[in-house]
Amino acid sequence: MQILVVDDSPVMRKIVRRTLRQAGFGGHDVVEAGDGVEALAALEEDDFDVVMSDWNMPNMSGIELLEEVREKGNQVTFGFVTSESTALMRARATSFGASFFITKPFTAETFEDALADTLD
Amino acid sequence: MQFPDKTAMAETFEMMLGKEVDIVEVPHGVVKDRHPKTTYVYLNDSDEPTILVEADLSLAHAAGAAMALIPPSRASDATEAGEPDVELLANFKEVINILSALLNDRNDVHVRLDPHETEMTGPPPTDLQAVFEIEIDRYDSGRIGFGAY
Repeated sequence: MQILVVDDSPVMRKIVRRTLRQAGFGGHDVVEAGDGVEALAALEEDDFDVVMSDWNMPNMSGIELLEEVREKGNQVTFGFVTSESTALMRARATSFGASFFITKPFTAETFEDALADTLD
Repeated sequence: MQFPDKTAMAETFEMMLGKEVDIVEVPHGVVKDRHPKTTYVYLNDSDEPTILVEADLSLAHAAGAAMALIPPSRASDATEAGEPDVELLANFKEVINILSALLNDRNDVHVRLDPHETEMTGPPPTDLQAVFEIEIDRYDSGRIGFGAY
């Protein structure tokens, strides 16, 4: 399976990769994007099984990315990995079909719970 | 304003760094090595400065290195030289960003890290009300403190 990790922080992308390995998902291919614009380009070039996106990013935020992805008819499994998680944000994400909402800081167990159904 | 306690701080740093940390709360403390590049502001939803965070350069370098598995020597060398390491501080900023979740868990007001990276020179605009001394396994230690505007 192919996972797209979207975060403007390079170190956070590394941590997400590390946590995926710790959660037992190390066998999957991981591609990184630095913001929503880069992610959108990656999604147009390739098929992904899961998108794990930060919310606040320059150029195009995570929720703008999700909206754009759905507008293009792409129903990829999409979730957020973010430090902010208000009820309003969750509701907006859910309305566009977000599958999970992981709040930073996270553990391997958090990833297991959120991704087991999709990646196992 | 409620600030994170020692346990929450330890959990957050350990999760972010993937390393054990020792944390001591320092009553009425101040940071020892304040630097404009390790001073951060959280804004409320009206973009008003709400919480000040200050950190010792040594802690910022150590945490920024530990979370990316960068050798401790790079962090300690930068601290000894008194030169902010751009990459390590960018990493540490992510820790500061994530600490906003601990503040939002404890308070009705919603805050987020000021994205404009305003450098704060001169005296601190507010006293620190919660200060922690943090030692990171195999890396240096240092202080971080929070104060409400």
